[in-house]
Amino acid sequence: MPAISAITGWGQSSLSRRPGPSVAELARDACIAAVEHAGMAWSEIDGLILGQSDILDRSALTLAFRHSLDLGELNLLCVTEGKGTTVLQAIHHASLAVSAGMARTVLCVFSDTPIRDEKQAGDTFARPSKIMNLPDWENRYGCFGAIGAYALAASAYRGLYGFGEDAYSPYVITCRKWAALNPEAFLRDEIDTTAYFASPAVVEPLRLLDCAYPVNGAAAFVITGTDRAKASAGSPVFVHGIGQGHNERSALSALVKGGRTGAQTATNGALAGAGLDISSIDCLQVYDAFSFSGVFALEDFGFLPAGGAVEFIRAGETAPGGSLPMNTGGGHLSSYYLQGATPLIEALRQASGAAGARQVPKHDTVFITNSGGCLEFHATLVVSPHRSLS
Amino acid sequence: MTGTAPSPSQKFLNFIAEGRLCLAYDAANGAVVDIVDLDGSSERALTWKPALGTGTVAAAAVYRRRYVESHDPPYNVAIIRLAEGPMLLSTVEGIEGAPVVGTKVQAAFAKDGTLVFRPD
Repeated sequence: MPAISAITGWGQSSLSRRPGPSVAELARDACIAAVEHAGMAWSEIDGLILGQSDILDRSALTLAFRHSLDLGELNLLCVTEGKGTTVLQAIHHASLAVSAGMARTVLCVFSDTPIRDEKQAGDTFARPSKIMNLPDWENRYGCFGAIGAYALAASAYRGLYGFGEDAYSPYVITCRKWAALNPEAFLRDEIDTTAYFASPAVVEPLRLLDCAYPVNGAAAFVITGTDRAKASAGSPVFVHGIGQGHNERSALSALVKGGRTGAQTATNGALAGAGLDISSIDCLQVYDAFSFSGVFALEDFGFLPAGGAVEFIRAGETAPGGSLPMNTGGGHLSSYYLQGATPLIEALRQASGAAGARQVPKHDTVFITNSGGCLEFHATLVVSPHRSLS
Repeated sequence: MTGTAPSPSQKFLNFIAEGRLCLAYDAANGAVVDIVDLDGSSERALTWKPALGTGTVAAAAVYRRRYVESHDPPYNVAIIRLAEGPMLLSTVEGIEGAPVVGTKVQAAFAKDGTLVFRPD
């Protein structure tokens, strides 16, 4: 089937663990890098989508940002926010706009600064968890941070299938194996089970090594029509499937009450658009804010039967040389956490054959996920270096 | 519903403030309403009954670092599956370490009025 759109350029700002440039300055650097990578003139860009990070003030990146770039009249300009799905939602909207002829070429940017003065990144995310829908209920029990809801879900998953304390260590160790091959990753030292268990517990069952590694930075993407991609200077990557799924169940509620999240629906939408069966996906890049989310994604998005992910990972199937290479840059845990931009950047590198020492041999179809809330909001993308999948 | 009537979630919290754990039932079909979904239902369609107070630990987390002044680590947070079906976030008192998923527990009100659960 023909592609929906083409991603002809992508780029990043500096990525840092220290406070530095503002959200808008980082966004501008990423936009310039992406447009340069696409080999396009600024006059060709007629759409701009700004991704709003859930942890930033609404004033951090506004429509006025357009004035910091060399843009002419635009046919599309907006801010989009979908918690952890913001980046893929922006790609969805841009792809639909260019395929419908509303815009010719859309620049999408996501920028975030979780590392602030005198604050550790964990504190930025340390707001009361929202689980019960009862005002201030979580405050009474000290249930704070995204990690609160994820630790509960990680515990429920272990309890449901009878996994022990080593349920998540194979995933964490595998991420480091990939990161060791990625010069851009922040945490590249390989670790073993002993090192995992030496990592301090933050909110049991999650240890420090089970958590994402947030950075300040930005990523930008140039999306254009498939016809225009011919003139592109680089190696375009084609978008073949887009999907979303949001139902009333989060991972936590699905694990404790039964039922499923909207992840499978998001998978089905993207695969149907691409005309693919899930078994034909060569490489997988998921949003893993915590080790548990990476493990559970394999089941929730339909790649493995329920309860099957831990053994699959332990057997090395997601590691270098495995049957389903996953989070091949080290993912959010070992490379860097730039919300949903991390898996997309890595997917584009793999699909275009630019992943260096970690390049997977087969990269005709790469599947990307974004998740938000406590795995409550889901978005997916299928990309390929090929214009047509048949 | 009149403008002054409390929302179903506020009504649940009012019961808690009185030291009572009560659950809402759909008056039309008698089905218990999940606590998380209370405000998705019309107040007039609900009837309230005291909960049995028994339940099972469905998920548990232990905070090992400080997130908030009011809570000194370590402390646990748990999701309790009540005998009637609904889930409730609370804490399990009187145990060392992490509450084990599947443990039977009983509701109680601590001295400060907080709803807690204790091993049954």
